[in-house]
Amino acid sequence: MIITVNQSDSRRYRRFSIKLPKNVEEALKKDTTNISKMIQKSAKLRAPRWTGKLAESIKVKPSTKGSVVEVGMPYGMYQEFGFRPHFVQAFRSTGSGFVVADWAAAHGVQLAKNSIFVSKHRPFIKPAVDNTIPKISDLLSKSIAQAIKKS
Amino acid sequence: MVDIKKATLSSNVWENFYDRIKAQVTSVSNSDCTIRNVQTVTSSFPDQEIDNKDAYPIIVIETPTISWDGPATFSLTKKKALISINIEVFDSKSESAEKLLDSVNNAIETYRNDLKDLGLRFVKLDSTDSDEVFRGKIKVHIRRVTWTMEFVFTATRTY
Repeated sequence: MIITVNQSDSRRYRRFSIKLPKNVEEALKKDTTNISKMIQKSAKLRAPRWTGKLAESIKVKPSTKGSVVEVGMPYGMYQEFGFRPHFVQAFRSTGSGFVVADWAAAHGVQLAKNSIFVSKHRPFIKPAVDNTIPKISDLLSKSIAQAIKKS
Repeated sequence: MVDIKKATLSSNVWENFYDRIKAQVTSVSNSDCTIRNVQTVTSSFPDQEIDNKDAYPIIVIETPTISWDGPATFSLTKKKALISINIEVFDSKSESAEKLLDSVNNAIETYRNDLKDLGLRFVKLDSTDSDEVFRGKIKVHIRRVTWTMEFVFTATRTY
C-alpha cells in the first residue's frame, strides 16, 4: 500500500489542526449554556409552586467556566435539601410576600395552636440534573461532530 | 403563510410554525374514546396553569435559535442561517401527548414544500425527547421535538 502525501494535503492538515481546537472550544462553551438551560427548564417544571416565585427565581447566569443555574429564593435550599420536621407559626413570613396562614388557607390546611406542622420537602434541582445527564453525551457528540466538520 | 425576510427572520419563522400547528393540530382521540382538544398553543409555558389539569394539552413553540454558517455553496455573496426550533407538548395523558407530537411532526412534514417556497430549505426532524413531571395530583407528560432548517440570504457587504 502506498500513501501519497502532497503539499496541499499538509497545508490542509495544518489549517485543520489550527481550527479544530478553536471550534471545539466554541462548541463546548455553547453546550454548557444549553445544558444549563435544559436543567433550568426541567427544574422550573418540578419546582413546588404556590406564588410561582421559586420557579421564577431559577435562572441561568454566565460564569468564567461556563454557566451556573442559580435559585434566587432562599427557601429553595430547604425544598431541595430538606429540613427537620417542625412547627411553623401562622404569622411567619413565607419569604414570598405572604404569611404561613395564607399558605395554609390556600391549601386547606388546618391550623393547630396557631401553627402548622411541616415535614415534607420536594427536591427539584437534583431530579432536573438526573433527567438532563443522559442527554449530555448525545448533545456533545453532535456538537463535536459539527466542530470537526466546520474545521 | 408569512413571507420570510432576513430582517425579521426569527419572528417570521416562528409565525409560520405557529400558524401551521394552530391550524392543523387541534385535537386527538385516545384509545379510551376520549378526545383531547389542544387548549393552548403558545411561545412559552404558561406558568400559572401548571397544576390545572383542565389547562392541558399545551403546545409550546419556542423561539427559533439561529446561527450563521459559512457562505452558501457556490456563492460568495450569500450566507446561510442555520435555524433550529423546539416544539414541546405538555399533557396529563401519555397517549395523547404522543399522538399530539405525531400530529405536530406530520403538520410540519407535510408543509415542507410550502416552507421551501418561503426559502426554508432542508427542513428536517433533528431529535425527539420525552420527560415526566409529577405535580401533586397530576403527572405531566412532556414530549419534545427539534426541527432544523436552513435559510439562504444575501449578506450585507463589508468591503
